[in-house]
Amino acid sequence: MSPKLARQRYMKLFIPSMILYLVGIFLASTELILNILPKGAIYGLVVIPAIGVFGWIYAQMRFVRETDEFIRKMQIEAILYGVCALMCVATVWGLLEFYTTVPKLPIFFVLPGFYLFYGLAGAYLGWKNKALCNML
Amino acid sequence: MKNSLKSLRAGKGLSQQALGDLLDVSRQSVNAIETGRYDPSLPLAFKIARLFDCAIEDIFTDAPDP
Repeated sequence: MSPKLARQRYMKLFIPSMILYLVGIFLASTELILNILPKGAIYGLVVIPAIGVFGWIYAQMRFVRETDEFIRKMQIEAILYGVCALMCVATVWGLLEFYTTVPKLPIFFVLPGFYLFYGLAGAYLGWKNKALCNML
Repeated sequence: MKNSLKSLRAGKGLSQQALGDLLDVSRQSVNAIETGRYDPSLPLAFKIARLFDCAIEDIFTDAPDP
């Protein structure tokens, strides 16, 4: 499959998944909605953004599988940089939480944290390899 | 690994994008191979060699700089 087609297929799934995630986050963080809903329904509501996350990570996995080998190499490197940075920060922050009075960081921030580091790594690798448009 | 992809491509009058389309890879991949920033896999090297009707070792060489 051509990288162009792979990217089109990625965007087709990524965009609706991202919208679902954002809508889910909005609903799950709106106090008015949370006050109206019965307790049981909140458990269902918080699954909505997770479905979005599943959709866009599946889209990313499929893109990595379908794109060309050079872009695949850069994507894998960016993902590894992202995981590495997140794990380092989580280890340091986790230990600080044990032994000092730093505030507890909600586990919710794992996903945005990973994508922040992944995005920075992707931008750097794209710039270094003159392929920025394929990484962002 | 050094290669003569740039001159072969120029000889056929192809742009990086056009060569990428023929090889089913991105223009950025062609650029990375040409500039030696990326060594292609064996299947892609065969594809390139077949396209220019020559052997892989005619295009790619691992000879060190003189």
